[in-house]
Amino acid sequence: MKKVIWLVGLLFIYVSSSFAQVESTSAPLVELPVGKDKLIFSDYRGKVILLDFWASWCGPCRQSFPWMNDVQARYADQGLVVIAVNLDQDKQGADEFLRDIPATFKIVYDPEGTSAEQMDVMGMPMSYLIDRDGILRHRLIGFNSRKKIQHEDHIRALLDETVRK
Amino acid sequence: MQLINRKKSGVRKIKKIAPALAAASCSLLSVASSDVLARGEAGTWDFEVASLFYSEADDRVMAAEPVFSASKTFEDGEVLNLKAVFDTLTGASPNGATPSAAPQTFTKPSGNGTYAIAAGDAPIDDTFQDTRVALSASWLAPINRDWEYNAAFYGSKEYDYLSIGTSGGLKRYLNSKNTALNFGLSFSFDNIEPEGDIAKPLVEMAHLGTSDSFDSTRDGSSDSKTIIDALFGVTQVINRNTIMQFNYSLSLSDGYLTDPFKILSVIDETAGANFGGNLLDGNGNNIYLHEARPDSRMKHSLYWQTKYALSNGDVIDGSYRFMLDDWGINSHTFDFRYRWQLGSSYLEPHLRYYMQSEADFYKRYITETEYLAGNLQEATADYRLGDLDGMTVGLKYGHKLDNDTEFNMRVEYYLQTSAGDEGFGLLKDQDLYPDTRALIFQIGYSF
Amino acid sequence: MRFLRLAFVIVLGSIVLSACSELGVKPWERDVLARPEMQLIHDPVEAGLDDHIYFSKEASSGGRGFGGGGCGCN
Repeated sequence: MKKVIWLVGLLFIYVSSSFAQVESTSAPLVELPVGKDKLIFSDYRGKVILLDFWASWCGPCRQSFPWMNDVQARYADQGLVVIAVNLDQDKQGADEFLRDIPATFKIVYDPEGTSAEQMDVMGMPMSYLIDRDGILRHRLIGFNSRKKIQHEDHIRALLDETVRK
Repeated sequence: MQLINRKKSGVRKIKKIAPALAAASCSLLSVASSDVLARGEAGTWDFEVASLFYSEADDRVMAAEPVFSASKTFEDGEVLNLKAVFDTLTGASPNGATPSAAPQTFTKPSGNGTYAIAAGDAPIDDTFQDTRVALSASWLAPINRDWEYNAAFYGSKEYDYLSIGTSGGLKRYLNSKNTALNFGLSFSFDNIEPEGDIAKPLVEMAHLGTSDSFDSTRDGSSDSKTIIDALFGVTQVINRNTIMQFNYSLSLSDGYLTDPFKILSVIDETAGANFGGNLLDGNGNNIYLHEARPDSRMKHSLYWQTKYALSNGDVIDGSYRFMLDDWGINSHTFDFRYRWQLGSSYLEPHLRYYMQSEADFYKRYITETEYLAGNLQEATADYRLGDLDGMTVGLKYGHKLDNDTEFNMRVEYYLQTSAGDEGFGLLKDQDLYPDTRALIFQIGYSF
Repeated sequence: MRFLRLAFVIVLGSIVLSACSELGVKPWERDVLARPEMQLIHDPVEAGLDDHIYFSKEASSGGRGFGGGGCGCN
């Protein structure tokens, strides 16, 4: 009987931990080192940023790029800025990917992955939604047709908010 | 080894015998899981067609085996795979009897005729043809970020043999997907209905054209077995260039596990001119007994594989498998591949070394004493359950035409050597353990 | 009862494994592992054909099974 309880308990821990959600932090983001440059979030105050981390070897990125092109186009005038950070260790991979799937949004390169480390990227691809006040509001891991809809709902919600300060 | 000769009548009146290159009941676990790999862009189909040609020396088995595999990856990462395998076999395989200084005549397992083996020749079941078709469908889908499941169905049919099966599995990711725990279960049901019916265990082979009654050696027209396999595995990313897998599998077979087409020779122990020769019955014919195996088998396997990528893009792949079963067999399998990248082509040498120990009930022949005592429960002279070593040396060449298209071919040489009881008297003059030598050729195209 | 013990061992083993989170790479460092030739069973059709040959000529079979590894995406 004791073993059954242990077993059930352990299984529960596993199952429940897989559904854990992590949401917003309260302080505005300041800056993010990306390769040799820096991304200064205050430059984008008043805009909603979709910060996406991708790589050429990541299969679902082939689906997320056309969608990001689409949302960038549709919501640009409402203040959406898409910034995609490439994490390929070899830029050639990224160039080949962009030849196949061109991007209309801003691409920055971070082959060392320091920005991913700082943002605590947990899977590939991963996007972060930062509101008009520079606060990180959503972490979105992975990409598929279901997540696409959720991501877009979050974007619209953030675009609807007005700047607080 | 639960594999069984199959038979088919090509022309209705002529009963032919099939040899044992018939893996009708392949472990479903490897079929289900491995075939759902797809080059997988969502919404696209990936295809692979290949054909294997297998040919043994000394007029033994020859097989051609084309395969068609299609995979589709769906929007949310689900993968469907459909596969069809065709298998045509010809040639002969050892029937288990020992060679003799005198010519031998054997009754075909169908009971419709005999075949003769010259003095000193290896007793092999002669020409036959058989065709088998196997179809499988498998499905793999994520449940959420941490869990994935898979399911598969399988069926194969030839004239006298049917195999159907199903499998399911779960995968649990841990440590940011650096670790994956795998669990799989498969169930298979096989039914054999040979022409000439099933032989009674350890009954004397009836000689045609004598007072022997073929029908009295028969024990029902068909029989079956069920196989349950379970697999527990861990896949672990070691570092950016290295990945390992450790699996434990358990296999339980139950039912008719005997090969209905294999026999054993009974050897004369009486001092004199025929010491070590075949024991004769009242009619002056050699005595042979149909083999018999236990009706259950439990196998345990431990498997370890490592893949390592070198900085120049070459890949080393090594694996080791240990198998232990309750038939007294244990085996070691070492497999090593080196992929040498050459731009958009590659060359991949391959080396495999296999060693197994003999089954408890393996006997190259039965002695007169054992035969007269009559208390043998199980016995087999099937060399595939004996003490053997197998070495494979091969080379594969592949060329990528583009990201989704590859052409490849491989050539391999397989040499199997057996060892065991060398016999006594006249039997010592015979080659009881001839080598098995096979050439394997495969071409493939994926697109 | 035996099954329960086995299940317990497996779950316990899993916890031990997850303690080994020293091993592994960051999610964005899986470029090499994502390559097709680094998959544990790179060519399933060939693996199936080989399994068939060795299953027919030897007393052992199987052992291999599932994937894992790869790009770890989604």
